[in-house]
Amino acid sequence: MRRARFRLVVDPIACDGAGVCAELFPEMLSLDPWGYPIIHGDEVPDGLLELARKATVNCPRLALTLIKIDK
Amino acid sequence: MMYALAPTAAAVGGKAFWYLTRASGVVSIVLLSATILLGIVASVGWTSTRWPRFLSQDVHRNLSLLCIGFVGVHVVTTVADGYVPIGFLDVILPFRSPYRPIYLGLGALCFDLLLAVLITSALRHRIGYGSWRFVHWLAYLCWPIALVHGLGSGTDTPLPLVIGVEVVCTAAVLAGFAWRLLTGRSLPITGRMAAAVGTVVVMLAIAGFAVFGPLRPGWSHRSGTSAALLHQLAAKNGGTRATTTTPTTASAGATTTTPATTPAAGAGTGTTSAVPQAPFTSPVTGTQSQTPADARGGIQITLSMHLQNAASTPLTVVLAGTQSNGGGVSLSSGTVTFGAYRGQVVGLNGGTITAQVSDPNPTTLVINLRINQQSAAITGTVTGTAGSGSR
Amino acid sequence: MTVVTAPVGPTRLLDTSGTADVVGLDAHLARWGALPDLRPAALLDVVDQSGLRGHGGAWFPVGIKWRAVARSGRSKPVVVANGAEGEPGSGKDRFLLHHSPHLVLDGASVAARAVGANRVVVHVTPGSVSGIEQALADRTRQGLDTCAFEIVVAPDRFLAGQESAAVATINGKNPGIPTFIGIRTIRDQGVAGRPTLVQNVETLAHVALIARFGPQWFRSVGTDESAGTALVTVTGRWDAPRIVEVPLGSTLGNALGIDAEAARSIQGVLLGGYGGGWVPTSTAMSMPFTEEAARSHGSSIGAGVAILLPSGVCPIAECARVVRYMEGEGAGQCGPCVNGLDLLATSMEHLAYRPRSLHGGLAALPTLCGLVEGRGACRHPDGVARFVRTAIEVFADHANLHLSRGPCQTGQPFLAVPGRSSGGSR
Repeated sequence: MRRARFRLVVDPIACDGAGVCAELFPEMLSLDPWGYPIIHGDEVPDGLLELARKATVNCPRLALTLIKIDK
Repeated sequence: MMYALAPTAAAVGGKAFWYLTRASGVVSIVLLSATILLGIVASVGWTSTRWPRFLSQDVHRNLSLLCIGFVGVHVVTTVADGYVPIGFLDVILPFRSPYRPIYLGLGALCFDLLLAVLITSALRHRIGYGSWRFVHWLAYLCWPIALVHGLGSGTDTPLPLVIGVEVVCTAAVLAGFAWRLLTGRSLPITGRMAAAVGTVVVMLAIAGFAVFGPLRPGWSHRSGTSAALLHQLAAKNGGTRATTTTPTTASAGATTTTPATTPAAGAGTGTTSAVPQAPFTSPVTGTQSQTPADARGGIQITLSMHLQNAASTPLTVVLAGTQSNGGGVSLSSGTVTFGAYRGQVVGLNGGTITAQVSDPNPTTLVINLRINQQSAAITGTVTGTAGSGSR
Repeated sequence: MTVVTAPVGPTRLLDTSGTADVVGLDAHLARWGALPDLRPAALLDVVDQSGLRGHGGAWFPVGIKWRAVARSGRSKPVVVANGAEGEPGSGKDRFLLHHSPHLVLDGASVAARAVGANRVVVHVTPGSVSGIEQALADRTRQGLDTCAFEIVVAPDRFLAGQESAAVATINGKNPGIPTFIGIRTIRDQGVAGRPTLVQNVETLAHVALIARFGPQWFRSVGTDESAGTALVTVTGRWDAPRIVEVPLGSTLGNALGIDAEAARSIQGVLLGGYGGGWVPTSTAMSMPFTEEAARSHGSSIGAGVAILLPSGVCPIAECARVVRYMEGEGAGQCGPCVNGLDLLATSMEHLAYRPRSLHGGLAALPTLCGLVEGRGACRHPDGVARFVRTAIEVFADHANLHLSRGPCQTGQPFLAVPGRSSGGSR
């Protein structure tokens, strides 16, 4: 059985550019000149899932989500 | 002459909950203030190279959990102590406690708000940002409520240390709130102005309340506790607890509100006939004598009194203690003989002595005395209430 | 019974355009006959086989979308006939709603039957309301439709026709403002939380003919990937914009009758409108007119828009005005779009009027585009980025002239930029 695969999605309407996500998960997130996150890459590597989850949980606007990639 | 009972090991053990309640309350308001400050730092978005934003959030969250922990201790020890009749329902449902209903009720309200904030935060991802944020704003409301609760029902309100802690917390939270309002880009300017004006009004009201309320003597009588309960409380075994909130004069006042029972109304037969049936209130007169200090400084003070009733019931209190080098007296125990009743002194506070006597029925006596130092003559009142099983 | 003949050749939706200004229900039935009585499963198959794609601008295969809505099964689906075209360069939806309302309503009726919907919302701009009201009244009198039709008026703004914005308007919450769909789709949860099929009115008109004449007939024009014809709003070819029906896969040069000589007076062609992209005139005239071909040139045919920019106007100044208009038409919800489009518009204005103020030269513009692409809740920033990227490529020489010699004398503006919509940003 394969493990579930995930990717990060930002709700750009909810996001207000707090930047917490990029602090917590710089492996896949950086900030644009206005402080809004840019996602690098698609699938979150298995080893980084915990970090990604921490970034989503700590988003003050609940704008970052991990979603399952449909097979 | 004023007496104070030195806390013995047993006394401390019995009052551990009471001390815990008071201490955890003070710690809680400090932690709540710190939590709010860190929340403000996080929501304003202040960061530095060494302090990223997620740190503000983490510390905010952990402080809030610690705060809830202390509030939990505060609540549980209040209920467990039982000195004042506060049940678990009073802790949840505000304004139904017979003891200082308003100020304890504010505590319950604050507790409810904190629980709401805690639960909505735990379920943040389920309920969505809007609902979570709305409830989270209530946390700001929590703080002044907690402050008034502390001022209005706190035993330690007039202690300089406690006043100092409250002043520092208030200054810090007000500064933080001002910062939040000044940088609140997501809020309309009118809303922020209203919040600022509201805050000033509320804080002035709280300051006025503190100065003219809890910081003036006699607060326990004005804080809404029923006279009957005050009387009952005074009659319980914790006279020393009322050190700061129940000045002698106030207690004396309370006793006068209780209708005096007819002396000897319940007079039985034989040797016990002299002791009136509780509840009763009666004037007493008598004299005071004191033994010289023994080799170890031990002394005995004997108060020989008679009730001003038909039977002229004898009431003798023997207090044992030690004379300190400075000439003061520290009393550690006392025995009471009241007609055929025998018992122990359980509380001493200024001119108020609380004792429990029995034979055959347990009775709690509250004895308020004025002693003329020149003549050693004693005048005062004795109040008796039935039983002590409620403890 | 009258004999109905399928249109032969590339004129389908415009078959009746020579006969009347408005094709009423009687004329409509006389020309096309009644809709055949097909079962939902058969309708889904027919639409699948036709290869019809959405003419609203996304060119998504219609059959796949219908099956997704039909299968969603959470509750009765809703069909939205979307005629709220906000693109200033497009007029074909309004034309179709005015001229052949019954083709659109037939298509909506077929779609409702195919996906099992019991409610159809006709979402149109204010100008189309009275015509549709009349058409619906006529149909009710004849007992044509089994499900409930209603009209919802779209606010007058660029984004009003966007799928989630249309649903927002119909739901009465933030009319004309897109929402973030995220992992859900409008197909699963749209109008009133029900599965929703939002389909462009032209697409539905094609459906009305496919239901009558079958998928083979539909595929007799067009390419394998892009079957059938498309209504195209053409600006700059004639004195006034015109709607033409172009067989997909044919060339614009043929469809518009523009030869090499005529092409010389055209500086460039904007395909897809203000959310589309510029293509050099020679390419635009010779490439197959399909979405795939347009995309391979970095553009899009969008909802079927071709704007021929005449020589004699400054293309950079024209584009700067459009980008500022598009910036103002944003919903103002997403940080990268709000900040990025403003910076893009400012940069384009610098290039157009104060070239020396443009920091980083021409290369700064594509970099900026990269910062907004794919980062909005809707595709609005992507469209603007495509517009700017292709403008800089197609008009590179002219842009460099600005940088070396300064701005042009601005003459009469060519590209129409509507006044700021009353909605503005939130």
